Amino acid sequence: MTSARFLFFSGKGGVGKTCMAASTAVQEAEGGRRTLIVTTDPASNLADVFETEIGHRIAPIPGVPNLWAMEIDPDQATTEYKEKILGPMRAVFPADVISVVEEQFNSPCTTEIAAFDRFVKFMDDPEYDLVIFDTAPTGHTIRLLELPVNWSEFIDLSAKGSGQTCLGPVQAIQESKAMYDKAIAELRDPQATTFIFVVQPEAVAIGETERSVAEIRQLGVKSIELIINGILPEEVCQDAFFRTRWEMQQRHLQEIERRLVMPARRMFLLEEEIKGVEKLRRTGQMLLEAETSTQRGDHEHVSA
Amino acid sequence: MNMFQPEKILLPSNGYSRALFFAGKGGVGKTTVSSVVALRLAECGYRTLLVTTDPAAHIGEVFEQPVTDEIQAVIGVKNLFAVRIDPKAATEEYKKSILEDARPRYSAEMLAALAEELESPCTEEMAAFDKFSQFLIDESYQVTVFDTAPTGHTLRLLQLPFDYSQQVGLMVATNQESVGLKDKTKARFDAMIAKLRDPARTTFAFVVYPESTPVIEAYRAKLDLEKAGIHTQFVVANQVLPVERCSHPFFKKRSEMQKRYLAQIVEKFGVPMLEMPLFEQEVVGVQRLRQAARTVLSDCGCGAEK
Repeated sequence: MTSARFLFFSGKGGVGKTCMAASTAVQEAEGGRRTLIVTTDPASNLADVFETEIGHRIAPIPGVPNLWAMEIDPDQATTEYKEKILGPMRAVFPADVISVVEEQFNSPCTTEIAAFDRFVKFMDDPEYDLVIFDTAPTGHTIRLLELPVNWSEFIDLSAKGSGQTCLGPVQAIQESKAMYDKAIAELRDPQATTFIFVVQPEAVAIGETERSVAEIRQLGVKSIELIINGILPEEVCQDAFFRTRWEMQQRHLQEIERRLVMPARRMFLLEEEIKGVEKLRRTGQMLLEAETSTQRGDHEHVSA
Repeated sequence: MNMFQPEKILLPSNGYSRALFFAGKGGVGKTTVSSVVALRLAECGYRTLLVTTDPAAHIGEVFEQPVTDEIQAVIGVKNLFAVRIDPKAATEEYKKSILEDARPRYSAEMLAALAEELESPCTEEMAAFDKFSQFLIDESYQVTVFDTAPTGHTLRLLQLPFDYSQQVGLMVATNQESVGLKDKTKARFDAMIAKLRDPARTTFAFVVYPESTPVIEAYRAKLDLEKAGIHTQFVVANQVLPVERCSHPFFKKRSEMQKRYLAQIVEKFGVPMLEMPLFEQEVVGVQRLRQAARTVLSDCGCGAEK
């Protein structure tokens, strides 16, 4: 079990992030922590994995007390975000000023900022003991996470200049800055936040994960762990075809040990897909029992 | 059942270049499939450009050679060129071109405001989109294969040209006087939309592996694209387990699960399906890409192969 309040699952697409995040969520919720699992992926699979409707609202997961989930819908988040800024302005400014601000919202980045704004809010919510972010695949995730850093700088810069940003007048978003700064501090605090990278033992995934880990480290995140997923069980690989693949995986596992130095857990490929609460519960148990090896990284932060 | 007819969906027609999009959930093998198809078409003699729009691209690892934001010939494959849209590099280039364009026409004060505006995080997305639009309407390659980022990101990229009013917002520098520039931009977006909607010039394909979530996700994206007038022309089912190797109950069970999903794909999507098997070795490096290409697309439709 983790002691962190925020868990971010990351990694290349298709490595099983959603399954690992959802299994962890079930495990933690059943251990008694009030747990929320959120996705910012516009093409989320959370509902498919839990086999229940979720959508853009906090929905309880049937059959698991203490567990809630939400799929942030970028369009709805945008509408809410615009209203958050425009609402208070309507009372003070004339219609033509409002329409200028509205026009400035018609920028493609507003959607991204809005989704991000929603997600930062969850980092400030005392309602939950644990918030799990089943993040979007790597490149996109990093852009999203880089934003708070960029934004703080950008808001500062803009406040000195013309006082305009593509989001409207600086004053209107100034108050968001405090919230963004707090979120960054939480991300960097190893007591508060752990990043869990999910990887499979295959050539391209290793390089991509290595790059993402470096970028996350550069953002100042200190607690980073690994789940190696999809490992072929040796005993089922008797046929030469699968034996070759098993040997290939073993080579990649050594490569992972060498290149991704951090606490790691190993998960095996199962004969069925992981879908529904019952299978998530079993997978969560396996994750808990998976031995954490430190991959030569004994100097690193280790969570038990 | 729909037959996979490569000459109709992979090759250029009527003297126009063909844009081929491979989309789908993360990790389903979009880059591998794009690379395999691009390599096969290049080998058949078509001048082919492979573009990756994924900010976390790993195309260089697949070809085992560097792929950068400059178009380069792929070593070891005639007629094949590759490029990646690097959001950071694209942003620098984009900022530079906008500022240079504005310099002779605006006051120092305006230019300073513009430079400041371009520091916004939005610029990166605009720049990447700008690059994408250049590759899409470039007619100097007979085939352009787009290896796209995972579904959500790609849907957004494709939606951008459809909302012209939003696009006016993209044009940071055009609040004043530059009506001509606005018209030019509108013409470019219209050209993109026309190309994306024309099945003789653009082919849209989803890559899935035969499991629940990739199929559900691709199907939702297919419906979204239809709303924009873009129709999916085929589906690639990747990592299909070779039945004859699945004698162990563990793989037998997985193989049977795949069979159920393969049937579901055919029924749900109602378009031709191309199967790409799981290979014994990872498909990395020109030689293995070539082998895979000959297995999967023994007939690429050009009528010239053995």
